[in-house]
Amino acid sequence: MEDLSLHSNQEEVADQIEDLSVADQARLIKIARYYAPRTAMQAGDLLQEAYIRSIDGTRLCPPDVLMVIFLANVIRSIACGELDKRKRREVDGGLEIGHQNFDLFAERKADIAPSQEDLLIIMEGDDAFHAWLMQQFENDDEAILILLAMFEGMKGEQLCREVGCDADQLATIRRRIKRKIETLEKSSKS
Amino acid sequence: MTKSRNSIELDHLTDQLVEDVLNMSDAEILSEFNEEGVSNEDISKLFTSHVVAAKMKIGREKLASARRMMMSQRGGSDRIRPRTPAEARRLIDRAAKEHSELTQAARNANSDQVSDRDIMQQYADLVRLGVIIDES
Repeated sequence: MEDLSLHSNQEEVADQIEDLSVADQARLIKIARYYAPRTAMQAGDLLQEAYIRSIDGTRLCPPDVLMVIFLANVIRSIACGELDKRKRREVDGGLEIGHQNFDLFAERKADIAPSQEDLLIIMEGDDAFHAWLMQQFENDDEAILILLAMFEGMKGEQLCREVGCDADQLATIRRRIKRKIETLEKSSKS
Repeated sequence: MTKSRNSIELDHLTDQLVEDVLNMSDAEILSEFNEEGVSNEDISKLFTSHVVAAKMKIGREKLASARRMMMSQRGGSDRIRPRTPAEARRLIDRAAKEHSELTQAARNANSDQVSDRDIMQQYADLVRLGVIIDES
């Protein structure tokens, strides 16, 4: 019969997650809230799923990666990695290619590829979320410009230069964007 | 099927927001919660509640997996020893009382409308489904 006890590595992962500082717990709660609107899941479910995938060996944490970073990656992977994976599978027949910023670890098990219908649902959800975000700042030209620049992947000094704002203004708008998303996620529970 | 433009843009946005959160100091991240009236203790309670819920899900899945394994080991028809129709009726009747999801057919195991042959088949089916653990 299969050994149902946790492997030592999984036990270590479980211990490390339980030993996370309250600040890292706060970070992960926020990160799950940012990704949740792009999924059919709530932030709490995303956190739970990330824990499960870390413990069951679906995702492996390299020894040199901080647990909080690892879990952030797992959340990202759950929330929006499926489209990438499907695309890659179609192109290269299954070779997993890491995201340039976030896939710091290798996948042990291939996830079940979503159907074309799933992909359409994901994209429709993203379209609605994108439109909602734009709507939140429609009367604020500066915020819209910063949002558009962030959509293009700009950040830091480059973004400030392109938009014509300073670092403080950028930080303020980013905070507002984060709050809006968190409010949306919280309201989806009610 | 390629990613839509909106999905790519949202990838950029969320990646940056996450990067922000990971680069914030402990004091900064905690103060964001504290400003909303959420204490550090509340944060820990919330996070821990999700860990506990996840552990429960893992536990349930392990149980289901163990059950499936037992069923597959016992599921071959050659491993199900024939019992008397009366005994099969009694066991099906007991299982039906414990499992509300069982069909009416199973609940009527004791009725005279079900033949002895059918009741033995029904018993074998319930063993294969894992509803009844065959102890033979």
